Amino acid sequence: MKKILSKMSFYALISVLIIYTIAPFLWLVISSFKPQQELLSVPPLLPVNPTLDNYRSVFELLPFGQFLLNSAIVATVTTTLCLVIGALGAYALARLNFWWKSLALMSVLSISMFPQIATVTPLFVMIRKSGIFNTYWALIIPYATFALPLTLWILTSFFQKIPQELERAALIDGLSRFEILRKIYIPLAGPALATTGIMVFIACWNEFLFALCFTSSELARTVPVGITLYEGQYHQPWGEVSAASVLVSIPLVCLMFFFQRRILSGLTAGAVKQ
Amino acid sequence: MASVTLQNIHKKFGKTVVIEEINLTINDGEFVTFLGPSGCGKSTTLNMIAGLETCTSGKILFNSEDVTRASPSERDIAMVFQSYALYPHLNVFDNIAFPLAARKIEKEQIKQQVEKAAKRLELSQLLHRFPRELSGGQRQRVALGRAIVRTPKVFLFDEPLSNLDVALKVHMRSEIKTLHQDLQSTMIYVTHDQEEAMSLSDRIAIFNGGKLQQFASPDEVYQKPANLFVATFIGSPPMNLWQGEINGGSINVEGTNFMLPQQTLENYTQKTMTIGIRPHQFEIITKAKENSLKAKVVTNQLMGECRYLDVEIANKRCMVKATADFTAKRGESIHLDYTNTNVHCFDENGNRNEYK
Amino acid sequence: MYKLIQILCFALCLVASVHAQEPVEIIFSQGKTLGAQREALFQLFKDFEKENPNIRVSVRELPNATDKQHQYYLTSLGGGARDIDLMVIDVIWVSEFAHANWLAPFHLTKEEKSKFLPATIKSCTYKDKMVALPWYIDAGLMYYRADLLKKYDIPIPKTWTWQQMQQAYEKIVPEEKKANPNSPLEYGFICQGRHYEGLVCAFLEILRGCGGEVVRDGKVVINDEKGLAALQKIHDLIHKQKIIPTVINNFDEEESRMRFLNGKSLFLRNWPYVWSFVENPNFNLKGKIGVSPSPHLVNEKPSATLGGWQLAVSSYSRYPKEAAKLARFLASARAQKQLALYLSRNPTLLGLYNDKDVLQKNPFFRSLKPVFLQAEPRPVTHLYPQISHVLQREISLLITNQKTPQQVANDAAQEIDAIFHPKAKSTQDFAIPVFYTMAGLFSFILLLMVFKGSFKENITALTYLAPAMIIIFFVAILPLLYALFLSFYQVEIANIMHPQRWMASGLDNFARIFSDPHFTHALINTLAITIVAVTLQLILGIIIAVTLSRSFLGRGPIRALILLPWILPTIVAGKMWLWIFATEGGIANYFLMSLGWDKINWIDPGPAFVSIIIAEVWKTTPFMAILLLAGLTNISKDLYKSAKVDGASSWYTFVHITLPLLRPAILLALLFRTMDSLRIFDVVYAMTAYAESTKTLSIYIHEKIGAGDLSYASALSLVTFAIIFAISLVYLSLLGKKMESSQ
Repeated sequence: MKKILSKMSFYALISVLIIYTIAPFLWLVISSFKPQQELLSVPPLLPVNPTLDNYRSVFELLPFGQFLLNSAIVATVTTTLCLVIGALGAYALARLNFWWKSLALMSVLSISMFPQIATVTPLFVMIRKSGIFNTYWALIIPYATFALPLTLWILTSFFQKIPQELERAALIDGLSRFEILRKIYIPLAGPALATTGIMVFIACWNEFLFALCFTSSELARTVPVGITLYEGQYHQPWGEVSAASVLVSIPLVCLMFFFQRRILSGLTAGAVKQ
Repeated sequence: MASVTLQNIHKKFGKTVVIEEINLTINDGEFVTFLGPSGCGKSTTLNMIAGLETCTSGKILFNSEDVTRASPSERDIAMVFQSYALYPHLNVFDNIAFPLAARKIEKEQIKQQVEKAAKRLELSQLLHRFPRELSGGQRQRVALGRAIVRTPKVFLFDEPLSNLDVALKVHMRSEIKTLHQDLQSTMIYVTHDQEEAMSLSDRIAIFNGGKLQQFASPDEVYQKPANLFVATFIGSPPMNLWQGEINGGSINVEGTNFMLPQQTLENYTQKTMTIGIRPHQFEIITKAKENSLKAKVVTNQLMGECRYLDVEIANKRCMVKATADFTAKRGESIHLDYTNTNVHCFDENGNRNEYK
Repeated sequence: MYKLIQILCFALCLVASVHAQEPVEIIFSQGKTLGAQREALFQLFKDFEKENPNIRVSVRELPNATDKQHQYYLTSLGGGARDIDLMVIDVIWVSEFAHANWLAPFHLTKEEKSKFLPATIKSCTYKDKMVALPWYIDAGLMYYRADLLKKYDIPIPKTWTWQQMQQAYEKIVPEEKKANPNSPLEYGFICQGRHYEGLVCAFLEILRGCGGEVVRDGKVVINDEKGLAALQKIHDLIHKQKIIPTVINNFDEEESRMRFLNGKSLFLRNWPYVWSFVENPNFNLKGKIGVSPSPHLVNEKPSATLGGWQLAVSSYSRYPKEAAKLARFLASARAQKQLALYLSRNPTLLGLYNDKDVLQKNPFFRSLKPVFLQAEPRPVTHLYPQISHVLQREISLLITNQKTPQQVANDAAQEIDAIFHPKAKSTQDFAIPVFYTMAGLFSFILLLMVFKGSFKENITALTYLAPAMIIIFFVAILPLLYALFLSFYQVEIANIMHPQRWMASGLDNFARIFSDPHFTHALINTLAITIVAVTLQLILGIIIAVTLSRSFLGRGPIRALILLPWILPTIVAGKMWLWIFATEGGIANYFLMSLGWDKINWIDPGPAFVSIIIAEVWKTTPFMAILLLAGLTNISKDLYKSAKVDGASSWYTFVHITLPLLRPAILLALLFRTMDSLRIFDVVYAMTAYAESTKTLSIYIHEKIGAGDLSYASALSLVTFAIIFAISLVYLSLLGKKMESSQ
């Protein structure tokens, strides 16, 4: 009896958690099927005349597919770049002995301490001067930088957990440091790379301010900026915004379902067991 | 194949001195063990020979070639680690093939050599397994396989058997011994287990506190320990020690006189001396005789083939070996005889006082 | 990677050189238009291209939100972008942009000028030069419920006085309620009251209608006798006579329009665009709604705040002549007529208000003309953005009754005065010594990096960290240094590209921070949000992590679902919560009311803080939970088994085993969350923008950048950085200790 009760309360807790996290999102989903007139009045909660108009106009009014593609490209390239740079750096931080290690760590971490909005103006000047304005690179490079602290932190702590003797064995077996990183650390750190990758990917997917300032045409704009383009001067297009939000979330939700197991193992210590 | 020479090796981590002035030469084809308690610097020395750690000063020579600054891969060595250090993402074949593949050797040749090594170590059936699917002994053999798949100048072993249970340990020990006999190559073996050291080595280097204490054959290390540390470290149960004052031709420990070889004292200038006698070098006699010692039994432990008596001589506890059928109860007095040539003498600095 | 950029540049050059043979391309930058409006507009461009075969128009479309466009132009033009030729700018940016020398002048004859509405010419003139062409105009109007007024026999005057409105309000609302308990009618007069530019527009009309003014002839007059009386009157209207409800602090244009059209209010102050809804047959409002100039006191005149959009040629344009040509074309009677016909845009040319076609399509224009003729601009000065921020804040405080009219008048006057007359600046130049010290320090560290300790190890480490270091240097360190230099000068956004015009100001900017009550306020807000939000995230994160670490049916999908808030773009999540918390029609209040509670005005200071916390916690708890869940899976299962054997209760196990062992994971998660939370921007910006009650440090910095005060913004950023740095050091030392003790 007691067991059943505790089980029931456990499932109740889970249900509360799920409601807390997905109820607001569910509201977006419901709204995305409401026609314009019903959007701003509750009750009723559910659409009386459900419609796909919002979804249609998301694609008809703006090249939303292009925004999705841009976001996907920017996020993917950033993630790859960030992982490459991060893995190199994390290897040095985890395994090499040099006196300026804490200095390097501190300067990496300090990226997360300076208000990002204050970097927009100087970055803009640099991006202009280097001629990458309104290209994917204008977003990729800043994104990769701002994602570095977390990447380096996770990868470094994961690399530190890889037994040092493996590296010593490989050194004796005749591998160079770089080959050790490529042939031993990277394959073993697969889960950590997946986790960090997801985190970086989501951060890029969500970013707005840089995307607004460093791109100027539909060829390079990402989804968050794209969604704000539906707004009128006075008008908030809730229908389109909610439909677009649902569309943006679907690929990421799929990604999550696919990766959630790996995300956790990536952060877990002792993942390298012989 | 090579001889290995360490010249004046020092090692500091920050301000702490880890290794202090080590000089030794390991001959070509020799099996040498670095023995010592943990933290004595034996593993650090091995790592310096491997090139995994740099020496603060000093030189390392392979044959006559200076390799002090060479990277591990340039030194042409193989090493077996305590944790085996098998690559978890590679199967047995790839693990054994790794040092060859890293040196960009042809695939066909790699295959041949791996199979040969696997056969030698009875791993042929396991080539497609991953390390996590192997038992401890099998992993150990894979690690050995990775070392012998090439013919390096020097083999290094860093406590390779310490993670195995007793039965396997003895088995692998003889395996390593035969390996050395077959390959006839230079091997350096680090351990804290004196039994391993005694049974495997041509010579043993005993370390303590970052210093080399003695470098000699197992026999010599046992028979003629260079100092008090070696004397107590080697041999089980350890040597019994007494400190006393010199009194003519003998040494007086709290009223009990010990006989010494006459030559020992001829050149000896100091007043006190430490003497030692190993437990098995006493003989239990029924009646007191000249120069025999009187002892009181404290405990009596049966070890199977023999007994160890815990006795008190000159107010000091010590161990005496007796036959299995010797029965003596607590508090009983017994008499012990010994030969004066079996008495080890150490001066006030703890160094062996040799008579010549 | 850099090779790729080079190739890219090269390719761009190639494309550019090919284009040089062809007609010049003018980039026309404006807010996004959609649907039929877009087609009509693009038809105009096609006509223009036909007449000018050597010019091609390419349109760059920006988000319609005014502040987002402003941000875009500030960064672009501040950075000297040459790829904007013609842009459509808000009337209040004209002086600001002209002061920054971003606008190329137009040369109009007197006769040409006389064709425009006089107020629009005034607002496009800076230092006696025309710097933009008025394109279309907006001005505040008042809409009223003609049907109800008729029903209760209240005469409709030509212009409304507050007294008349008060009488109508006091008569109609109670009687309507009596007649029909379900009647939505509740308010007398509503206008835009949220903390944003729209508030200033609405407020200026009311203030001027009561005889007050903010700045007259370059002098601050909001605190003179008349100004004070006007403020007192406004205060009475809200808090004594209650014809203006305090709920307006929730309203922007759309929300106030919807309340009005849903029958919530008798009167509405809004822009002309609302009329298109009145005329839309779907809404069935024809004849029910009337329009008049804004309300005023008996002895005063009605006032209308001038809004609208101007065509301006960028002074960085590569083709200023062609751009000006396009501007003149678009401002011509022919084009404006098209826009009036198809986009219902209010022309700036007087003549079009008598045009038959236009009037037939927009009969309503007839009544607009007198309003537009009287329209008054907001204070015409390049300092307007700063003034606007002061006004927004002070009026919000007046609406929520947190300040008396006297306090508002004094504080506003003092601050605006300080904007006009900045204190004498110290001219000590710290930047150069700082530069040399930094350069020395850097090279010293660089040398040490290579030569101290093991040379080989250092070099290897350097090569491995080089890519990270390089991008960190360019993307993070350089902006930081740049901020450091700016903070030693007095730099306006206009001078950003001209260092020779920077004025050294020593440590004044830093001194200013420590005597700035708004900074202290923002700091306290930030710390409060961080402490509350991070604590809640931690608690919820632990609950989620502990729950999800147990195995149960469907764990995988549920784990993925829990992560959902994390993947919704922050700006969207912010808007979503804004919508959920909408005072009316918001689902949060719907639930509160169906539970029998009162609805909450979520924009009020207290609830606003709560709503931001809710949104922020919702958005970032998954991140926390993931890190903690990973920490949990690190704890050996044996410990739990042994605790069970020892007879520990599950709570005891949690407190004495789980929590202590989870400490490193908790600290790490807290470190990253705290650093992010102290810089919180997106969520607050999307939900309450610059509202005083939730203004955080990042929002304050953004406000200062938006107002062009780059130096102060830089100094603020550096102080913020220092604060976050100090807090992080505490975490790091805790983390370090933990790591040492666990080893």
